Amino acid sequence: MLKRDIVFTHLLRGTALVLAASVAGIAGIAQAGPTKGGTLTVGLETDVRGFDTVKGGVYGVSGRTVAGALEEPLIIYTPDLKYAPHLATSWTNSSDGKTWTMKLRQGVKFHDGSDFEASDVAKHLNRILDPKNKSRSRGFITAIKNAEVVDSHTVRFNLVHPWQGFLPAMAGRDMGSLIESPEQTVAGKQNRNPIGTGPYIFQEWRGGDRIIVTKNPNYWDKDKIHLDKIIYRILPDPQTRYQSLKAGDVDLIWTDRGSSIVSARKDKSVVVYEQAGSGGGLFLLNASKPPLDSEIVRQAVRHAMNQKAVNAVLWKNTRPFAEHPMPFDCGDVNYPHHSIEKAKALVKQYGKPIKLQMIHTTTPRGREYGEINQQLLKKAGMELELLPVDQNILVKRVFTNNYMMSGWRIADSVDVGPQLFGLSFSKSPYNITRHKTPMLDKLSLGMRMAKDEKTRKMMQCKMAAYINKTSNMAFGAKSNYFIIMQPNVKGMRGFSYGTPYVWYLWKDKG
Amino acid sequence: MRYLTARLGHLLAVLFSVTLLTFMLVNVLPGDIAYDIAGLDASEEEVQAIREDLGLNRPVILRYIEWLGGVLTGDWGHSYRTGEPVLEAIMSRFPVSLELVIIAQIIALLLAVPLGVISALRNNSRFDRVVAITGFFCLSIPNFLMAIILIYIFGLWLHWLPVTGYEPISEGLWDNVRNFILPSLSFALAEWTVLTRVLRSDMIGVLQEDYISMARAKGMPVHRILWVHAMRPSSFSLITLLGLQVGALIGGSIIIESIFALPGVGRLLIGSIFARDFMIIQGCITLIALAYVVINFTVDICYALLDPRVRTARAHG
Repeated sequence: MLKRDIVFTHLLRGTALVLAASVAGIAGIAQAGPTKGGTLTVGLETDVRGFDTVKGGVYGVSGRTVAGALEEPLIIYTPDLKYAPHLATSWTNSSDGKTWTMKLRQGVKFHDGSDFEASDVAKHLNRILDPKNKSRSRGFITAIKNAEVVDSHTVRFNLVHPWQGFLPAMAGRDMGSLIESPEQTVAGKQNRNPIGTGPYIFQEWRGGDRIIVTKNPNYWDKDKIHLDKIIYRILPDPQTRYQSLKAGDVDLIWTDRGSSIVSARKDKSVVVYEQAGSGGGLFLLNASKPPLDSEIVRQAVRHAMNQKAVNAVLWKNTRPFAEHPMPFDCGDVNYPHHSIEKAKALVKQYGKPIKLQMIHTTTPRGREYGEINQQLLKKAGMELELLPVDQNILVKRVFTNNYMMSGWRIADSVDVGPQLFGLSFSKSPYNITRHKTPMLDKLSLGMRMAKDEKTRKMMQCKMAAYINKTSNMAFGAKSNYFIIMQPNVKGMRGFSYGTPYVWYLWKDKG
Repeated sequence: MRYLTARLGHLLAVLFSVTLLTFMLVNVLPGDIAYDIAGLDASEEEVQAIREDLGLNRPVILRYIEWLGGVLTGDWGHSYRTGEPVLEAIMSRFPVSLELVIIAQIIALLLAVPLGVISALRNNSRFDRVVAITGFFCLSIPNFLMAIILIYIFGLWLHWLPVTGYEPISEGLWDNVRNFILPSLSFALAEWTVLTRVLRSDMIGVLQEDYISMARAKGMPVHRILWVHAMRPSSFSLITLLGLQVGALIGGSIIIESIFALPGVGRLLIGSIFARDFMIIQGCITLIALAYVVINFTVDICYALLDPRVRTARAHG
């Protein structure tokens, strides 16, 4: 087994099932067997925009945490991130790699009592793929041409080209992979009254306050479900969310706030569950804006930047250092480590004064990120002007090429290939650093068309190495996920895409 | 009747001005909800398609006229983000804000009226001074800090009350009320001071009136003098202040609702401002303006009921 595969497996096994205390607690009670019944109250960061693939945009962590209880994907990741059957029982790929055929599970029913069949899958996917519907989920699966019904429980997916991203896309927890009820969608009700095949049934949505789901008595895999009810409470303020947990108002919260995580780790009255993700921070250097059109200047900036300092200040070291965004090891990827001396030498080699501008969000985290970079670049002899802007103005400036440098992110995904392709391919509208080279195009297309997973991963590593070398992007701290919960909450079996599987949990009495 | 009609005309003019101004201001705010909706992974073309869908490329004044027409026919539009009808979104949250304000004002009045009356009766006594010092101490603590102190004491330390959340009355009266105690106290512990001082000041003046001296000379019991004869003329400023405070609390409950995670109008408004969800912002501001206007209208009517000279003077003047 290659070293990177070993690390990959290790990472995907819920890398860090974490704090010794929590692990011991989980293991201890797991032996006693799950307790049936009860209500779990989960503190979410944001309300859900909606559950319709067209009207509801795309899910964040909150959306996926709710939707996962209501709707299900065709296949799922096991805790060690292998593919396992779920609504699909088997799947095959054609010899040319351009067709996938899936056999669907018999006897599954939607919450309204209707049968789950191949036509439901085809309608769901084809609706997303229809450009007229402008579904935001389409961009992630454009390699699929269409889905067609073979028989009542067999569905065929025709691809535009061989695509190793197919299984990861189907096993995800996004709107494209979670199968919704076509009848409810056609009736225009899916967005606010979702119907799926999931272990819980939508009961109530008090906007801005809570979403309540109750156990599905007809669920096809009911032995794995223990709770009677899950209440998702919307608690946007991270401090309020943490205090609610401490006061016992909620059983479990998701957070990325370093201060809460550090505090919870020291607190024996709560349990912290941690798992490594993929993706993470990204810093954009716009190669179309002088002096950043010079590779020397971009490399100088990269060497002046200090990811470890940023991780310590912004994330309180709750996120790991990353040389690339993939959830597997790549070996050496030319990562330009922090070195003021190297940065100074490159500034000298450039020979002209370097004046740069960085846009950042007005949040404390955005400001701190800007100020750290400003000081580091100053040490290397570069001048950095900071321009604080609202989040959506930042996005607008990046898309309209009205920026020099900006913070960004690569969303967590087991396969970050589609994002790397979008950021790198010269004809992609998502190539927001405007760095367009024949080599990057060659690598991007090679990765996209790879005929096997191993080649795809290797090409992703090569892309990361090329990006690090030409420095149009700086990869930042890798995503790391934290759940803080009451000690009597048991059965946490991991995350996928940062989404905790709360629907499999149970609560011990007392 | 003429008085009421005139007041109503003024109030409608205020409402129109506020909604027009808000619509214009919200539209010149920097930022674009289309980018929020599209997210980080969208292309510029997708963003433009969203702007087109939402009608954001059309002139502001046209959109305002359409919006106003909709409001007058009961259609307040839909949230840009969730598609939820604005009126439905607001009306599902308004009872929460209203209950918060009402409970806060009840607590404030329960403290303010007896303390104000006794302070006036025992003007410059030790009791009066203790009430004044305590009041200024409470007033000097911002309500968000008061909220945090209350959370720490009653939520995290004593575990007597929940620190966040809301249960509708349908889930049980006590379950409903217990969630409002700490948020309401956060408001009330500042509000009572002002009400007490105003009532005390007015009542000291009234207690020096000739008819009060006459009542005392005739041997009328003190409690009857205070609550029957002195209270009514002393309550003008109190009612004015109460009206202003209720309006201010509805609009100003953003912080308290956020701290206690109460799903009220304040939290809806702040979330919409961050998301540039103009239709929800517009709806919330309209509701808050409406609340101010209705409350002040009610206060004006109360003046007229309390003192017939007011309606007579207005009617003839």
